[in-house]
Amino acid sequence: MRADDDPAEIQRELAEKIAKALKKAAEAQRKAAEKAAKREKEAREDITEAQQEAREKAAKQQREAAHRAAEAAHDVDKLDAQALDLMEDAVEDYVKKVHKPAEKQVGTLPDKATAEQMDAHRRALAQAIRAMRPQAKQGDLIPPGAQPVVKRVIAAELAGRAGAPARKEILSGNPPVDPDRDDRMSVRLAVNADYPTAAALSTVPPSVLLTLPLLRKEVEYHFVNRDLVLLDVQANLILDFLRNAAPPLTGTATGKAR
Amino acid sequence: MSGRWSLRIALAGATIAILATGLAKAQAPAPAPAAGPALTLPLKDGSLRFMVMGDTGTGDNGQYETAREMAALRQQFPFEFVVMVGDNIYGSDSAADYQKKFETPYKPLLDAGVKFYASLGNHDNPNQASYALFNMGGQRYYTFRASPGGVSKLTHGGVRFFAIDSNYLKKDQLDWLDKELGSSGSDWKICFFHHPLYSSGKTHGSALETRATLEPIFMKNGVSVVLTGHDHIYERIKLEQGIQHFVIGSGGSLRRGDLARTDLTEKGYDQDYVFMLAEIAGDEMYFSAVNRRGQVIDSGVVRRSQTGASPTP
Repeated sequence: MRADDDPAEIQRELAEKIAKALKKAAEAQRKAAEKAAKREKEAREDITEAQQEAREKAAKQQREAAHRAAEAAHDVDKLDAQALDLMEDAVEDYVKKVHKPAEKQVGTLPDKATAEQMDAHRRALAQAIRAMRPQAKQGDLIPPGAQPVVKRVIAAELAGRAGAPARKEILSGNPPVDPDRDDRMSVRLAVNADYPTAAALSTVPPSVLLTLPLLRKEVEYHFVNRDLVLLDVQANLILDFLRNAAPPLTGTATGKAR
Repeated sequence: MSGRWSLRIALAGATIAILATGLAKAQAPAPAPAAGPALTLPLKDGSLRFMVMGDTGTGDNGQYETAREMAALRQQFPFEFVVMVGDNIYGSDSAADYQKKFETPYKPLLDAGVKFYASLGNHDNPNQASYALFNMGGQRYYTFRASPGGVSKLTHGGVRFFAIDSNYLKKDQLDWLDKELGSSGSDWKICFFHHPLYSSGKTHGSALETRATLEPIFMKNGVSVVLTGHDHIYERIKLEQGIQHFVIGSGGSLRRGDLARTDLTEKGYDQDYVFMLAEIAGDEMYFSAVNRRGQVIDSGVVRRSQTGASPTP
């Protein structure tokens, strides 16, 4: 048996890969908790709208200064992290300024709902969200600066022999390329469009999910072929998408892991 | 019974069923009823009885016929609840779909008070977590305790089930799972979810990344049994890392000929729709996998002492 085909070796590599991804996710979790605590503290403060605007302006200036400094130092890691921070902030803003108010408007779905209630709630929520962001466009939640970074993160997790299982798992439930031919269907991607209820949701391989920016639970990553989609899961609504976010998914089988 | 024969051997409270099936046609007509089910589950006093089904929600004849067999067998084996390993509603999921693909086929069981506990498959809208009849309490991953004698009898020991959303294994879900498994004092810890960590299905096969993510948590916390679906076959896997894995993904969607027997396979079957009945009594879990004709296609006993489950302190 060639070393390339040794199942034990492949499993060892996979275990290492997942351990690394978990470490990264733990760090992201820590950062997110810090951010959330800061936001909560700010929310408790009794400030005027003008003060709030001034605070947001100052934060923006601070971000821009940090970005210029990282550029000057050619610090690629820092630049990548800043770009992904922008994406996290954009999603956070969406949840706070659109999803939550829309949910408040249509009411919360009870934990023990009937199928009729679920259907009605999903439609109403999607409608409310669409009404609140009628001008939404591609790139709003995955800002242009973050797009190449997201692609690099995904490509790194799908690369090589250790990436073969992730390349295979990403096909599972992926509407146009599902291994189960009976399940295949095309999905037209458009911001503010419903994700077709007849289409499956792609599995997101753990290594990819654990290394992409940490999103609020209201928004999920899924793949439609190679395109990455940001979905409001409760509303079943496409919020944003990134074309060819994943490298070509063919030619995945390497090694003989059981 | 042309083209089919079966031989059943009773062995110390378990049955080994050897079943050979003739060449299946792609669109086989509805099967004639079998001569009669031959369940040999022990029905011990105070045992916990449940059913497992996966990949059910098609609304097709196969699902309905299999559902009828489930209801018929409950007369002999009164299971209290059903564990669903995902793909509960295929395709569109309007209110009418829930009726056609779940409420109508399983009406006799629902009417009899049988509770269904679902996990999510890749065909399931995550909002299913709020569907009352799936008993997920609005959560995509959750746990419930079922003790011998009844789901609600919370005595010492017992059995705890953990529903996992294997479509979307975020860090917070993994943290939750590790914490819940670690703090559970139940004798049996049974995890159920959609993607099989081990499978000889040709269409999907083993989900290796998911395995690398979940298996260490299972091993660390003494999980005994893992119930999955996704591949539309039945397969009982040889004991892996001290854990008994089952693939039960042909409850309503069947992929004939999709089983490529490998060194993982202890027993496999891909010729008809299958569900599994299980009974836990003390340190033993008896199981019988049954096809839509009521034939037992696999059965045996999982002994907790043989699995990696270590007694909790």
